[in-house]
Amino acid sequence: MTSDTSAHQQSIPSARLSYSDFEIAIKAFLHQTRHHIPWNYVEYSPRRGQPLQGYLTLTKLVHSHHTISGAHSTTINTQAIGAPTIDPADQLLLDELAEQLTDIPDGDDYEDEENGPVTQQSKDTTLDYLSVNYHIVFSPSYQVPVLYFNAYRPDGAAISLEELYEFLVPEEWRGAIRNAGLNGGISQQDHPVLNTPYFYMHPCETVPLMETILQSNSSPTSVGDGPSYLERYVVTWLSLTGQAIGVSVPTNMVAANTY
Amino acid sequence: MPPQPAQGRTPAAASSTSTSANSTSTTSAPHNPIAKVIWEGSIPIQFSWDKAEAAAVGSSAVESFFYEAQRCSYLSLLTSHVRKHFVDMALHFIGDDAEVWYDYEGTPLKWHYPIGLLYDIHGLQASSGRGMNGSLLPWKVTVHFQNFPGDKLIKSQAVDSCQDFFMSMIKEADYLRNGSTKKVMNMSKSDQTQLWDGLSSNNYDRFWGMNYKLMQNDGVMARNLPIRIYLPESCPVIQEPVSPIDDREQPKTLRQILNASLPDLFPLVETGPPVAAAMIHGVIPSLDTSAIWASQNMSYPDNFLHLVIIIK
Repeated sequence: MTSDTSAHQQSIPSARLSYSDFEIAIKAFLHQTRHHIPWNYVEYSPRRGQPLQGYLTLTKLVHSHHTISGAHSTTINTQAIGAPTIDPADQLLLDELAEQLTDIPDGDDYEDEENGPVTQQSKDTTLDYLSVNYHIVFSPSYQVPVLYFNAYRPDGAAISLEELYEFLVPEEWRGAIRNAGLNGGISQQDHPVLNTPYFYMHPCETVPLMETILQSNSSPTSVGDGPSYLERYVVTWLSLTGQAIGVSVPTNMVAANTY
Repeated sequence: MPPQPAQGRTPAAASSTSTSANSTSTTSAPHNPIAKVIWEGSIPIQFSWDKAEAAAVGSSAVESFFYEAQRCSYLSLLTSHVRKHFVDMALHFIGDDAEVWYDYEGTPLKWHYPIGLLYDIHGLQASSGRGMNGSLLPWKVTVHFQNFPGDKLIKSQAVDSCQDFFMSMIKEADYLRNGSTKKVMNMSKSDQTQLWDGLSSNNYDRFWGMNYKLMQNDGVMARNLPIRIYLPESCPVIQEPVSPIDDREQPKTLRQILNASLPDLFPLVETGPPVAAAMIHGVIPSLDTSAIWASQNMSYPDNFLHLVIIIK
C-alpha cells in the first residue's frame, strides 16, 4: 500500500514516508538542529499550479587530512561544529548500519577496526579543504529521505567518485560502502530538483534499516510526550547514514532522540 | 559486444525466427509484436565533431559519422565506434571514451537516458514547442572529446557507468513494483548480466527472455508503476508513485495517470481540443490505453515508461 494510508497512523510507525510526512520530518529536524548546524530549508515549485515542496541544504567546509602514503589516517573535521566524538551508544548504531550496508553478515572489516571511525592523526598528510554541499531530498520512489552531495576543491573543481571515497569517506567505511548493493553505496545521478549531477547514498536499504530502528526504539503507546517518530526520523536516519560521508548529528541529539 | 559499426541492426535481429546461434539462454522471449517493434525502433544519427575541437587538432574538414542507432540503446554504447571514426580521420589524435560527450544544438545530452528518449525530448518535444514540423532526421548530434561539462553531465566511465546506471534503474523499477529490490537482488549474477548483455548486443530474445520475468512480476499486481514524465524546458522530471488500479480496482488509463500529475494539461474529460499529448518511443498512444499494459509492453529496457509531454 502507499504511504498515504499507513504513515499517518502514529501507533504503527512506518519507515516509508509520504511527501507530507517528509516535510514534517525535515522541519522538525531543522528546528532541532537550529543551534548546532546551519541547515537551510529550500522551497521550490515542482510545476505550475502545484503546492511548493522543500528540501534541506547544508554547505560545510570539511578539513580532510589526505594521506600520501595511503595509511590509515583520514580525518574529518567540521569547521562549523568542531570535531564530533563518537560515544559507545553511537558506535552501536554505526555498527548496525555497517551490517545493513554490507551484504556479508560477518562484518570482518569492522571487527578488525577496534577504534571505529575515530580519527587518527598522521604526520604524512597534505591539507585539503573541501566545500561540501549536502542536500536531504525526498525520493518519491523509495519514499524516504535521500542524501545528495557534491564536494568541491578550494578552486571550485568538483571532486570525482574516487576522490570522494578518499577524502570524505572514513577509511573504516570504504570497504562496506563500496561493496554495498550492486554498484556500491554511493553513485552519481541527476538531482531530482536541480536536474544536475550529484552524488547520493543509495536509498534502497533505508526502509529495512529504519524499520529495524523504529521497531527497537518505539513503543506504540508513547505518543504523548517527546518527539514523535516522524520528528525523530531525520535525526535517526542521518546519524546512521551521514557519518559515512562527513555529515554528522551532535551526539547529544542522537541520545535525546533515539533513547 | 557492442552493435556492428555503421549498422545498428544486426543480421541476428532480423532473422530471429530461426533459432539464434548464440542464444544460450534457457528462456526465450515470448511472442510480443509490440515489444519487438519497439525494440527494433531506430534513429539515424549524424555525429559531427565539434568544429572548434577539430580545428584545434588541425582537422578542419572531418567527415561526419552516420549511424542507425537503436532507440532503446545508449550513446555510451556507440562511443567506441564514434571515437574510432574520428581517430581514423585525424592523425595524431587518440581521444578517450570516458571524455567523450555529446550535445544537440548546444544542450549536453545525458548519456544515461536511452537514445530514443533523448531524441523525443531534445528533438521532437523541443521542435514542437517552436512550432516546427520539418524532419529532424538524420538527427544532428555534435561530438566532443574535451571540456567534459561535469556540472551538467554525470561523469561517465564509458560503458561500465552506463551498465551501473541501467541496473540502478531496473532496481528502482523493482522497488516501485514490489516495495523492495529483492526480485532483482535475488537474481543470479548471470541473469542480471543477461539483461545488460541482451541490450548492449541488441539481442531481443536474450533481453526479453529475462526481462519478461520482471515485467510480469510473477503475476503479482504492481504496487506502483515505474513511470517518469518529462515536461518541456527542463522542468524537474515528474516521478510519483502511481498505482496501476483505481479505487474500484479497475486498471487506470494513461489519461488518469497523467491527470493525477498534470490536471491542467490532461483533464479527465476533454472539453475542447487537447492541449497536450504524451509521446512514447516517438509515437502518441491513445490516452485510453491501460497504464499497466503500456508499462508492460512499452517501457524502455530500463523498465520505466518514459512519457514525453508534447504541448500543442
